[in-house]
Amino acid sequence: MANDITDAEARLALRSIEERRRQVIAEIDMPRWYWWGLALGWIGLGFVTDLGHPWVTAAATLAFGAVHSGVASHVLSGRHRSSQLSVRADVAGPSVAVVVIGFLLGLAAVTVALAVLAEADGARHPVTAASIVVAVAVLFGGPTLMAAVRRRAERHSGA
Amino acid sequence: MAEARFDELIHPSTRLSIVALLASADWIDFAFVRDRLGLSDSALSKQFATLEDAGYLAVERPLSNRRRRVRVRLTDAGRDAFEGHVAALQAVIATADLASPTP
Repeated sequence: MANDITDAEARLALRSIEERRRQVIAEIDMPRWYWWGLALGWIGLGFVTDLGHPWVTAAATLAFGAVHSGVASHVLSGRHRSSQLSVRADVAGPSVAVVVIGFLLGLAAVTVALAVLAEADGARHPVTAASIVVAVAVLFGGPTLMAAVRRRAERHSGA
Repeated sequence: MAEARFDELIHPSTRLSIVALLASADWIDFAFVRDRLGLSDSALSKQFATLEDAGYLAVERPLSNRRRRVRVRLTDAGRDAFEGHVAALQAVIATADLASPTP
């Protein structure tokens, strides 16, 4: 039977397969609420830090970390944006969580650097100010990062 | 690389589309497949039944928010058949390219 189809038909079938694969890849993402929650939590943590009570800051940081790790275990893979499907791990790529965590660590470093600069400039609430800047970066950078993950998945796909 | 094996059950365009969608996912909701392929519920159910009878597809009905949902996933046999079919399509193209190499 394979010999009965032409190469044009075979190419058409492979294109169709690739198109369907792209439809699944388009679902690789993280829920919008994750980025909003992260941004608001980031600002809240900055605000608490500016209050100047080390124990409160430590407790807030632990609470933030605990909530994040509870949520992250489900959403960080980028495979469950909607409840309509679960993207296969080998399609999403093995390192989505690593990329996102690297992004968050980078943002933490930027927050510290901006807070130091703001404090040196005499800002009254340097960490809050730095956190607001980084929260905006989270809201814009997070979805952009996931778009890059999807593009990479498309490059690696191929029927 | 899967062994090239043309699969007549998978090859028709609608079933090929269904299996190709499922091949990239652990499972997919009935509604997702229906909406992406633009099929009616009855037409899609018929295709699912054919693939399920062949042992290529498994239908699950988990309870979610008190609603019975329908999820489908490829079985191992279905995944093997799909990969073999893709390899067969690629072999057809490779043979054609060998027969008429581009300058």
